[in-house]
Amino acid sequence: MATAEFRRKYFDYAPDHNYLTHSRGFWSWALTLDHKRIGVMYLVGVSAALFLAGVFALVLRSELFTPGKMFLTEAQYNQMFTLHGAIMVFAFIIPSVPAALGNFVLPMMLGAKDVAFPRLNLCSFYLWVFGTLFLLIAMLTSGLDTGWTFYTPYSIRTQTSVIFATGGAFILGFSSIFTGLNFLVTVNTMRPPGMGWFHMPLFLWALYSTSIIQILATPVLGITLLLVIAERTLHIGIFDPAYGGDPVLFQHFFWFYSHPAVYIMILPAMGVISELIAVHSRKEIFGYKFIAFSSVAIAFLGFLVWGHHMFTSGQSQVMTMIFSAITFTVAIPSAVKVFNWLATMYKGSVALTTPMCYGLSFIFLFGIGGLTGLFLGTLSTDIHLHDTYFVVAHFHFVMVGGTLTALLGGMFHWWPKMFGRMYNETWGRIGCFLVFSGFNLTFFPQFVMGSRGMPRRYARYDQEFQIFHQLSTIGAFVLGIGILIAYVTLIYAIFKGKRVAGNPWGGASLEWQSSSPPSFHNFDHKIAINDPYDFSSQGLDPELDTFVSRHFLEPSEQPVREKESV
Amino acid sequence: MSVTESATTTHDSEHGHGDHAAHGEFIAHHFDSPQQQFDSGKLGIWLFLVTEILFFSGLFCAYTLYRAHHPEIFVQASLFLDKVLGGINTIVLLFSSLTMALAVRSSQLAENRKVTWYLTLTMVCAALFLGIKAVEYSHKWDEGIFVRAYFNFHEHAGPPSISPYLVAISIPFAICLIASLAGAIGARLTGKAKLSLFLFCVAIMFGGYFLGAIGGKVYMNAKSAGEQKALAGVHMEGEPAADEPTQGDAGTHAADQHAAQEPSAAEE
Amino acid sequence: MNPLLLLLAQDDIPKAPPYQPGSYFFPVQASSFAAEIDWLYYFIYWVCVVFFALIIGVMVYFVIKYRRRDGVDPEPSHSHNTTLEIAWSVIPSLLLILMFKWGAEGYFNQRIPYDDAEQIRVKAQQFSWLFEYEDGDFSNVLHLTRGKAYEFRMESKDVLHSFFVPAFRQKMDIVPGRYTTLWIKPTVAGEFRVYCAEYCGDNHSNMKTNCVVHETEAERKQATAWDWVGKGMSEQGRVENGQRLFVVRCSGCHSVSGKRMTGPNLDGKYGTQEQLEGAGPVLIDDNYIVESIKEPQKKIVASYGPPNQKMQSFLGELNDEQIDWIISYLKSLSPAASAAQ
Ligand code: HEA
Ligand code: HEA
Ligand code: HEC
Ligand code: CUA
Ligand SMILES: [Cu+2]
Repeated sequence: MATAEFRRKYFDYAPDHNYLTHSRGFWSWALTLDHKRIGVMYLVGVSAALFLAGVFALVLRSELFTPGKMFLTEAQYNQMFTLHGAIMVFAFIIPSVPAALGNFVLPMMLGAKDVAFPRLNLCSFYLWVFGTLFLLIAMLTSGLDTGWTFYTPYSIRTQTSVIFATGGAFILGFSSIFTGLNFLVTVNTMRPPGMGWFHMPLFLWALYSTSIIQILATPVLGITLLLVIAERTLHIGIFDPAYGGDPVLFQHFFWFYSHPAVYIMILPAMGVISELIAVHSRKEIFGYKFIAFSSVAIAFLGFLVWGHHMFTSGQSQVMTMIFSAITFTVAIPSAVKVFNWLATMYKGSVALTTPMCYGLSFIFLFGIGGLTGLFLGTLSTDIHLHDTYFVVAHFHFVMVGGTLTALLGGMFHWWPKMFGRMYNETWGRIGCFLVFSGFNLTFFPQFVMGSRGMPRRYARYDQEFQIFHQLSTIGAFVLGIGILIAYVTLIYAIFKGKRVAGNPWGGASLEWQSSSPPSFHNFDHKIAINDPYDFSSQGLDPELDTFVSRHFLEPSEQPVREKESV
Repeated sequence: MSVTESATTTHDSEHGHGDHAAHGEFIAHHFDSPQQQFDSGKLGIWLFLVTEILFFSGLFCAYTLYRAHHPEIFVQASLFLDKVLGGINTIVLLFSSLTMALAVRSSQLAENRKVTWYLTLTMVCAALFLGIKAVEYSHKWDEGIFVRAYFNFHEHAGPPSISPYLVAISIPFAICLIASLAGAIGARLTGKAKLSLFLFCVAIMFGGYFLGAIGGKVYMNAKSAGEQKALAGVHMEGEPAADEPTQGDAGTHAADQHAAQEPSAAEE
Repeated sequence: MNPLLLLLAQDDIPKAPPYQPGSYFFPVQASSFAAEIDWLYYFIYWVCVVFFALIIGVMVYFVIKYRRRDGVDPEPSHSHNTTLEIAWSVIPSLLLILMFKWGAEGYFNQRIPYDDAEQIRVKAQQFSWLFEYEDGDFSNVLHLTRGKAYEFRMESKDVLHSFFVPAFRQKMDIVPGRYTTLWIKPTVAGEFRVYCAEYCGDNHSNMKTNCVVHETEAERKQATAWDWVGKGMSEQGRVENGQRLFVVRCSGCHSVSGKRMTGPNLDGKYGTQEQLEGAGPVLIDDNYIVESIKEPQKKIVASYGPPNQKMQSFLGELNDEQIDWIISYLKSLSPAASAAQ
């Protein structure tokens, strides 16, 4: 069976027999149930959200170039950072890695044809569209100026479109819940025979843990936002002291979701990094079980620390202490991951491809972001640092330096699989370098001004912070250009890139065992189920210039479990 | 679940993957075995229930805190609730979960007629529940008890025996009832027996609503008539209402006090 | 005229005092616990630097040492090592326990009252500060004495605010509907910046003021003292009293320089006609001003409503005599109108 002909048939670049060319026309995309197309649509959607909110970021950074007024009034500035934060968080980063990359990759990693509930999957996507539309309506009507946190009582009283915005976030929450539910079921029931829990790629472990958080935490956000809407319209008196409510209660509700949500943002990104580092070092991942369990541990502990956003809010001092203590426990599983990634490279064969460059920047930037989390988890220092630019820098290091970097890395990594074309390595690296250096220039000075006392959400600031703000503004533009170059490189590759067959990197997880781009049913042939990190299981097929499971190269060599796929 | 998901099969068979016929019609193209499909559906629905629980746990949490902060509001508000209607509704809901479980069981035993009737009974219970709720809600609205922003409680004026709110809520149900009944008869006449049976069941279901609404309203009217009579008795004897021993539930008592004290104060 | 009034730019936030640097990451340590917090910060900082340097060092070394070379396959090595895993979980844990412990200790220093503290009431509202002292004086620039302990009892009229003085390393949210407290013992004399650190609406970033720490209690008293009785007598005294009240209580929202702030400019308004929201024009006279102060929602100036919550009633906060002084002051800003009388 494993003839060169077979390999050509199933692994070669497949221009006219793949999910992209399977059917044509608008409706074939808009009504598709194919997880790969849904993944691609998500990717387009979240990228649009990133650009929109990124432009807001550039506008607000420009305003901060001088301490006084440049071109925005205070009220306009407040709208800028609110829309920036809300769109970035709800419409971009939460769906970014799981819903866009995860949708594409997860069923293929399982050797499956689709997720468990394809219709629900499409429904999630449309909920994302509607939720984002609501945010846009809020933006186009009277805007939003509450901060992305919607703190009451201000959000009850302001005249801006809080109802549309919270409604949008509510809908986006359900999109996220359904994606999580879908993935959880898929991983639970659709693993191929022979793939035990500990034979799954780590990306799946990460998505699995993320799904647990999405299912358990997001409903609470949903009800909280509904209560805000009810408070605004009916004055039921839960969150606004003017009606007998308690604003601190809102903060508890909000962070009960939003702290776990930051792990919704970072866990899938960590999963991507586990893949990138292992594949591009051609080295079995170090400490598989520790990485797998640390994802679950982070997911679990993440539920117990929400109060660290409220150290100064007036919650009781005992609770404050407990929350601080638990906050530190989350640092350990994160540290375990970082150390294991490093150990993976040991005696490996490290290629500085673009995905790997993003992987290494991730370790650098997330390291700083995570470590600065320790300053914030420590009680007495957080009293000083809370609501200053130190916090702003912290979360951009983890969200932009962490998640956005991992998203870009993952896009470069799986791009050949998604579109069967290789991007330009030189431009890829230039983009990565600009993102990395621009990012540091933007957000490093913010640590300094933060601990010197620059409060966040300030349209006007005191003279002494100007130099830091100016560095930061310049950095933001460099960062923006870097992101732009990365995207241009990728889009150019779709049309003009070099054609590649199934497995250019030599990855051993199952998604690499399809043609590139994958066919409509992902696999039209039997797949050989091997350890996802046993890279020696893949051998180079000189004719196709791609890696192929040795099972298909020299079938007699080793016994491999197969999955019937057609 | 398995039924819903099977729809994908059509999608698949369009592309002529002949071997799927072997799996049977009901299994979706992306599942390997009926077992896998069943497990997925089951796990999926359980997880969905988990999200629902969490969704409402936010409300419960808010409720608990609110109640701890303002116990007096809850005492006051409970005076306006009716135990009989609430009790009936609880039983109706519990009973409907029994009939639903029986329906599932019957379908597993392939007793299709029973499935039909158990499902109908379940839906009737649902509609009955809505009917009673409609009475309870409209009764409060009649008295001007709305959420805070629209709160407009006017002292015990004696709610109208035919409530405009109740009528408004009932109109869509009435339309549905008539339409389904008419449809059932029409289908009967044109010889579509299955459709006729289905629409007939639907009609019975909407009938359940009116059973609840009318029954509940008659009960409420009788109750307030009783209150009026008790009040009238008080006036004849010229006694201050506060001394009147409580009859019926506490809600009427509170209302009595208010309504009764004012006239007696005027007399002095 | 009292020099205090000239010191304040009347319709603007107090000018920022010059930045007083401490160590690289911090301003000067001006409170009793500042040094301790900075120390802990630098402890965490160096722990992080060491770990980070190690991680990046190892990373760069591996990338160079094990870079991909043609024909060289990766060498086999163990894919797990439990001892190593435990070591790199436990060592950071120990450091984390230290951070937690010292952090909690420092926190209690920031939050536990001093026995002999003098109480200061802080009233925050969009977008101004009001400080009331035990001796009955009040101001909207905070005046303290070096070496003396203070308890701040804080309340908000409208939304969340947060009292933040970087030089003191102290911060606490101000929550409407309840009191929050914090303690400070300044150790350095000078002038420091006070920020509102919790987002509170349009002018959140302008809700800044200063804190002046005096060497002696006498200086502090002098800075906030105001001789109401003596000045209340003459018209001139009434105007000055009114101006002082206006600066402290009203200038957060009303300018007297023509600038539109949260509320309308009040310079030269007395005796003119004002266009109301949804109603005809109205003459700004004594009665209108009294009404505006006591029941601001009754007549809303055009383009200022709704939202309706912006100006809160001062009923119960300003007595009739004080309102009278304010009227005198507003009148004095319209020479034409006062001359006409
Ligand atoms: C992707 C998102 C993300 C992630 C992963 C994290 C991770 C962490 N965050 Fe962060 N955080 C945010 C997003 C995120 N955060 C956001 C958005 C806010 C602000 C929201 C707002 O107010 O608008 C915030 C705010 C925030 C606060 C509140 C600050 C304040 O407002 O006063 C705190 C306080 O404890 C905190 C702590 C932490 C900690 C301890 C971690 C830990 O999980 C970090 C663990 C990682 C490491 C420790 C680094 C890796 C390990 C090593 C390099 C090895 C060496 C390790 C040791 C020596 C221990 N974060
Ligand atoms: C995923 C989350 C995410 C991401 C990716 C970003 C990305 C960025 N953020 Fe954002 N940010 C938040 C989440 C995020 N942010 C949140 C939650 C807040 C808090 C809001 C609140 O307080 O309520 C916040 C607040 C915040 C502030 C603080 C505002 C304040 O408190 O006053 C600042 C200030 O510098 C800032 C800057 C930036 C910059 C420069 C980027 C850059 O990384 C953006 C880079 C992207 C682009 C630039 C767009 C892509 C490129 C182009 C469109 C090409 C054109 C560009 C050129 C030619 C230059 N952000
Ligand atoms: C929180 C902000 C705020 C504060 C503090 C405030 N005001 Fe106002 N004021 C407003 C706003 C907004 C309006 C316009 C809406 C209205 O008419 O109520 C207004 C209107 C007025 C008017 C009517 C102005 C006109 O042009 O017709 C007067 C007079 C006035 N305020 C006096 C005062 C005085 C005196 C004080 C202090 C004792 C004060 N205000 C404090 C916000 C404020
Ligand atoms: Cu007050 Cu911000
Ligand atoms: Cu957090």
